[in-house]
Amino acid sequence: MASTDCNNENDALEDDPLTEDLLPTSNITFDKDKHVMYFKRCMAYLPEPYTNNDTNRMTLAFFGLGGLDLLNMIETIYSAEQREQWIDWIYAQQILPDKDNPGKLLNTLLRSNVPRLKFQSLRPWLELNRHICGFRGSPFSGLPYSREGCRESRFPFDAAHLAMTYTALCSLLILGDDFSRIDRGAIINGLTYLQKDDGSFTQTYHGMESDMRFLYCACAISYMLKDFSGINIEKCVDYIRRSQGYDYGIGQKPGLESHGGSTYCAISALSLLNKIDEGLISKDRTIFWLLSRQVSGFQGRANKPEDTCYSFWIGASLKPSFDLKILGAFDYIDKEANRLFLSTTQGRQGGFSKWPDLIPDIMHAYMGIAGLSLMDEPGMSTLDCALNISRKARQNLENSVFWQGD
Amino acid sequence: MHGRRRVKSTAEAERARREKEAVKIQEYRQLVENCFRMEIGCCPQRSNHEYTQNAFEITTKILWQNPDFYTIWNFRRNILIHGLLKDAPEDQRQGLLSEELVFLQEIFQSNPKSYWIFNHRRWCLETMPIPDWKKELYLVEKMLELDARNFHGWDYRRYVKSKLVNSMQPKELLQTDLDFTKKKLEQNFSNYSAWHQRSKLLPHLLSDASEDERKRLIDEEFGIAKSAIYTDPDDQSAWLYYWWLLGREPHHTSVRDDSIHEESSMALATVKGDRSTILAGEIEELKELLEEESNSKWCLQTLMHFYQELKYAKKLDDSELYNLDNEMEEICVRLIKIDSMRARRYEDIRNNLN
Repeated sequence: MASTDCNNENDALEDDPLTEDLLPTSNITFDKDKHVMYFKRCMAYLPEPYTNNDTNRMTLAFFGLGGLDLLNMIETIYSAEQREQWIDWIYAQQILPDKDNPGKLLNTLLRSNVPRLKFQSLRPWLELNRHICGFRGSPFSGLPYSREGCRESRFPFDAAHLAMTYTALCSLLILGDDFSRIDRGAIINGLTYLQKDDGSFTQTYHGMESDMRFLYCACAISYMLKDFSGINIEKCVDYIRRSQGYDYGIGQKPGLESHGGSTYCAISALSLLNKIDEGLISKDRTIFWLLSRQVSGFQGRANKPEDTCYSFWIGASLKPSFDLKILGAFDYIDKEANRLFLSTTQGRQGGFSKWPDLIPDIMHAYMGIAGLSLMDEPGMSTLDCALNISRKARQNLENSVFWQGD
Repeated sequence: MHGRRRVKSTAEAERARREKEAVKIQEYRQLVENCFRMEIGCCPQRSNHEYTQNAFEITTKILWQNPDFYTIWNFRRNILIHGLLKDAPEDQRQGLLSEELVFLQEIFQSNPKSYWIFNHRRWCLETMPIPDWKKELYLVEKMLELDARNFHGWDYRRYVKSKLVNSMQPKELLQTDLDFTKKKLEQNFSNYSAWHQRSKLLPHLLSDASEDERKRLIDEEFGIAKSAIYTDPDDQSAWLYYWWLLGREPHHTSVRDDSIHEESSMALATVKGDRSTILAGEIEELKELLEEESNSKWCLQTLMHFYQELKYAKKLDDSELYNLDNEMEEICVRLIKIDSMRARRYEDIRNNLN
């Protein structure tokens, strides 16, 4: 959105260490075109250092698509055909109920109010692959590509992953899909296998990580599919309550220190469940904790350095969502200081890095854009804070099959 | 991906780097393919599995490059359970799993925040015949010395401690913790993780202690907090811990019990005198500190917080209320200047005063 002339001048000034301090903050511009190019490059190719994130490819795709969506460039850059191809790729990662699964009747019985004790232990055996339904992160398990998804149960470790299901749904909305090929029942049923007694969720069936991130994913998935029957809401709220620390910030799990990321996950989950007042012990004190994270940009924990991504995690915790009031204290932050910090982590060829002078990565690039969008940066779309998607994608959600005439 | 330094490079160097990367990617892909073939075979009945040393070594190679590939950890455990450890005598199992721990230590060096490494470590210790939990505690504390804020490490430490519960007296265990966190704080008062740990320990300690013991513990705790505050009045960790020690009046809007409040009110319940007297005493001390450190934002915020608590703790008459509000207004004015980043919040508070 900024003119090229203005940018060249700023670039020259930025490179000269003597004038760095003299840059008036209102002259800070964010080069939208460079960011668009950065995301475009990432969507085409991610270099070797990303290899160890291949199982998380769905989330990387979400960062790329989300960034371009907030920059209002999805339909400009990508043809309808390309978007369809991507929608197909996403659906190809959907693990659907095995064709040999017991039929609807048995499934209803398993989920009914009939004394469940003797059925519970039989469930995994009877349900074949129902415990792993949802989306995986990439074709890492080597199954043949099919836009219809897959109905195999052969691969014991080919399981859906909560964060991949969440980002798959978001990405589909960004690309304009209406969820007509989603097997809602299978996904919601899959959630029932993932919640632990303490209320938290593991990321996959028999997974070993369980913390606030996956609790958020489970709530967001339920919200987007308009079906909360797969999660125990009381236990979710209880887990969040117990994860609050003496400083009223929220940790990844009970006993862990308060952290910006987990605080966002908890607050957003509570607002999607409409349980903010039950879940937060003191809204006031949590707001205070969040505001105290601002150094210039934001830090994730007390006495740690600022990091681009917390402009999103902390900012989105403070800002009200469209129809869901979160905490509503975003206007208390110092926007100019935040912008100043983000200008120092902006990459010369677009994207953002965690700290100044590092190579940008796709996650921080998205977070930087999202952080700017929260501050109503010109040329950017508004963000739905609780779901972390654009207003347009949110509109697509409201037009999706589960929200229309249920 | 995260945190890589920017380095200038020529087109030549770029090309060479890409070629090298392409080879690495190809090798990695081949390894993964071999691995999957061995584990799954072609048969749904899984009779073609190769739970062999060869398969095991392939998983090692993959995990060196990508410890976040969780599927491969699952394979590795299967190879151990159904192959290498199966029917093995106790000392062989002990040996193999001890080697696993060494392997984990090695890959941990470059991946200190990988959940999977910690998880596999837990599995090994829970599977081996004779786990050495004391050694494990020593190891994790060494790790926390290198990175005191690594919350994976703190979480793992709590897990290891829970395993020591059977071999150590609960009191002994709590004391070890207190000593450890105290040491961390002495090294660096900014150690938020250490304060956080203490806030979880203290209620447990207090619940079993005698009246005198409790008084001693609370006094000591206040001592540590104040020592930190006076050493560095700008460090928020100690201040927030101090706030927690003083507790909170139950005036929140939540429906259920305030568990955090309960924890700290246990602290205060043992101190003689009612809460408003205690608050008044602390307020006097803070005012003295403020004379020396007039620009301490945290000192001012704490004063304001205590004034607020005083309002809730005690029924004040009109003139007392008026004076209190005046003091709070003055603090707001000072904070707007000193902590301009949060000016709007202070303005809001000021406007809400009577």
